[in-house]
Amino acid sequence: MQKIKPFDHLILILGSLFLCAPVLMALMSSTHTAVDIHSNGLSLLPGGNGTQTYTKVLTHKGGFTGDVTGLLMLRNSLIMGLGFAVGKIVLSMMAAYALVYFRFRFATLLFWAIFATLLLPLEVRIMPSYQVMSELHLLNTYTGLIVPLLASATGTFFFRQFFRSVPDELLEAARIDGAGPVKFFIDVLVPLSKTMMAAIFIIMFIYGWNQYLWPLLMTTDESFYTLMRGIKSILQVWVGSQIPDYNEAFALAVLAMIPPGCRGGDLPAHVHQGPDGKRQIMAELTLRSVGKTYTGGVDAVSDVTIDIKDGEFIVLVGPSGCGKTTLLRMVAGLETVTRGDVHIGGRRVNDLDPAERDIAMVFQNYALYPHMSVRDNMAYGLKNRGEGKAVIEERVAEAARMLELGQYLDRKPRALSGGQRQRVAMGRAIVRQPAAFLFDEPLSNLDAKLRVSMRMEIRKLQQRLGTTSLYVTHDQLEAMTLADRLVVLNGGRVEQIGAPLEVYRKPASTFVASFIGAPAMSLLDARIEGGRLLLEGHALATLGNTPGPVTLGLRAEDLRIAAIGLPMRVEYVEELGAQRVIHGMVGDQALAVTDAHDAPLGPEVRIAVDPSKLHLFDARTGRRMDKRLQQVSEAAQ
Amino acid sequence: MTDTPLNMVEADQTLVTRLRAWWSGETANPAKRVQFDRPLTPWLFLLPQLAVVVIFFYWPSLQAVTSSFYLEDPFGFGATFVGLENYTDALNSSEYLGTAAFTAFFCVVVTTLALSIGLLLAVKGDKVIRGAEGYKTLLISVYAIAPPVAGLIGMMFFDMHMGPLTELAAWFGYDLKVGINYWDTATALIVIAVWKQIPYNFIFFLSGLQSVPVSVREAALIDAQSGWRRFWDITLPLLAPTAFFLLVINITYTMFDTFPIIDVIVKDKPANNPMTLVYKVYLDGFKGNDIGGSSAQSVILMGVVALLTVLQFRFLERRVHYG
Repeated sequence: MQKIKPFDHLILILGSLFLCAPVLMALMSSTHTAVDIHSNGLSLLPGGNGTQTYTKVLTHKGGFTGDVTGLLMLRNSLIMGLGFAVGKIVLSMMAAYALVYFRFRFATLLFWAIFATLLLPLEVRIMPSYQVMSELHLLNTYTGLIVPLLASATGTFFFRQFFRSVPDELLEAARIDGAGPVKFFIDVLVPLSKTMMAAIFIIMFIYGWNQYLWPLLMTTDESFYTLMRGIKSILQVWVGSQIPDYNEAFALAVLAMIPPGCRGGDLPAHVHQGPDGKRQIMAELTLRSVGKTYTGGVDAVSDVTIDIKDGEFIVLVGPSGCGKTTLLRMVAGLETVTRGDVHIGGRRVNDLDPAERDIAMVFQNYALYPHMSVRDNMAYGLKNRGEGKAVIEERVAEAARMLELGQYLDRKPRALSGGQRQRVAMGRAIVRQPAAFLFDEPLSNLDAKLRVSMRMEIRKLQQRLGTTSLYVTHDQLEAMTLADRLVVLNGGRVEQIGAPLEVYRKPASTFVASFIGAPAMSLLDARIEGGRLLLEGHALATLGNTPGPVTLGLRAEDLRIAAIGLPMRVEYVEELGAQRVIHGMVGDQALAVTDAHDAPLGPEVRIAVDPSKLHLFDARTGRRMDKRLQQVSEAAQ
Repeated sequence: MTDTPLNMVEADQTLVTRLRAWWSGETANPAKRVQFDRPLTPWLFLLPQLAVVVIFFYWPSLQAVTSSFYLEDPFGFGATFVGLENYTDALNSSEYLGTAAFTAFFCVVVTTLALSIGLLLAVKGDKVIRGAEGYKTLLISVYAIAPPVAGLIGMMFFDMHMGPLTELAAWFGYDLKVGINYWDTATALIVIAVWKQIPYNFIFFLSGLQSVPVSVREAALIDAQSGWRRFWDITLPLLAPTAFFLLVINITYTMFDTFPIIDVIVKDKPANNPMTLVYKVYLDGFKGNDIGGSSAQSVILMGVVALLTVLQFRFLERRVHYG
């Protein structure tokens, strides 16, 4: 804890006094009479005049402001603040929406055209603005008072920042749920922006209420005077008067300080519509030579061909940047397909909107609509598709039962735990009864334990529903346990497609070999010479392959410690409980060996290699080579 | 203000691809991974804002430029083209140059004082625990005060007959004559302008301080013993984005939003009183009916403001670390 010195309090007290005392004095002085103030000066105590000055200022005509009462000025100030704030919010939200969520010609030009207004405040162009207003006959009108002030990008700027911070997945989820631009704006973005709107409303209301210069120019007719304009009038009357009505000025000042406490009302939340009645429950999914090139020439995915059978669970696995997510998003319709064809249930879907593809997607960060209850989150996609109320209710109830979400249906997503949110995201996909499920790393935001149990749930669910699924992950264990078939991707290309065990037992390349399986397969430089496989000078097997360098792949669990064999220097030992992994060096190449014993180890151990279990890869291309084993029994010695 | 449109376009693109992308509406780093691809809908959404901007921003700005080349008859009987004369007149007038000098001085002094006092109060307000809410309420309560109201209250305080500050000065033997003596008026303007702006700066600095993660504060507490060092090495750099934002806002404030304060204090009697360039534009245009001259001043001011904004973002923002 930091120490607090009295000095800190002194500074704060002085600061508070400096800021607040003048306002307090203005407030108190407004309860004194003009003569009292003139002879005794300002006061920090209430005077004897009570609220009489206020009554006079608010209702009296013919005073310093001519025929206009304070009440009217108060009304005008309110109109000015409200009109400006509401206008600002409506205009800037719409403009920011167009700028952030649309791709269209001249977007950048329009962006700069609007944001250039931030460079020049109204004050530098008052003279020409005045001329324009008088040409348009807008002097002494509310339009003239309010609308020209809207010609600035401050609000647009704030909303643009806010919209950019809205997770992308929300738009993607909404598109898959069948929401078009207008619906997305009204159903998702506007309710999401409530807090932002409230904050901007307050800022803009104060700005409008506080305007001084503009009303000064725009209003010569007293019935359009605002409180700020009234202050100017007071000053003009004072010039040359003996005892100025200070009290009235202060009363006016206090009125002008009334803290604006207003709240925006709720906007209508739902618009119903939607055609689309047909529904295929299951479907196969085909990718034909699919490729994706981004503007700028970067190839994210090239020439991918996959046939996914009805009801199959396919996992796309690979390191980050391998193009697996891009591929999934191309299937979803969230990315355009540069080359090749995507078919879902026999339909070519390349040019269809996400909502028309009959797919459901589960996102990594769940992409739940934060302002909707669990029930509404699940129902939204069905509503957009024009499903009947009864059907929606039934499906939601069914999904909720399946996912054990029944008691949470009326909660908002923020009141749920990570695992529950994950299940809502699943539920949103299930109720749709789509042709295919697409999963984009759905478990990576969960902790390790939850991940394992959710993994099982997903698999069970998919088997029960029998829905074709495409699942993206970077976790090879997740891939192994979930998939009917794995697709291993590297640098945008398919390295191997196959059942988990097939991929594990026969990796098609060094990349797959090192990516699938833990501990990773050891890859070592070896040679074939005179019909023998040589590693660091030790013969491991007798082979009929052509002589030359090869890459030798050895899985840790295929090796064992023995009395004779390959010598390995022990570097360190990983204890896993049931077994241990010994990491060591053969020559200057790393090797890992699994050992089920716990006998103490010397600095060097001997490793027995079963020639039937070793893997050979082309030293140059890294592709798998068939090994031609000869005299197996002899080589094992 | 953290995310300038400047970094929307990646620097390493060639000019041709950049232009092509510009034309098609694509950017290397679009706001969203996925965007709607409709040609018409965005225009409908943009239309209201665009209409207002064109009619009330671009038209008057253009008008300012054109009328700055004309000498308008004060009684409204036509205008004569005078070329750059309005500009040379302004730039050669010692009165104009004096106003420009005062504006710069005013800007520097008010911004420095308002920012440093705001920061000081925020740092102390962030530190104390007992009474923290009370202080905050007091310091923030005057935040929304309108500049003309601030001017009015200030005027009372500097009133020559009964103003408490005039009396205070007299107590020290100084005869404060706001509205008559140039530097007395300048002092009053500065005090009022600073007073009005402190709560605003206080709020932003305080929220900036409170968004510094507890773990970072604790790490600093372990790494540096002196409170001053911690402030200088950790807190201030982390506050830099807030400070930069406030700097821009404060400069804009002193140049433009102080108009009502000046108008209230000098009360249309600017004879020997200090004023800012914006006030002079208003004075020459509306009181002096010199539309051409006022427009020329507007255009000069536009140039200065645009330049200042660009400079701020180019040179200052670079030194700011955004967390």
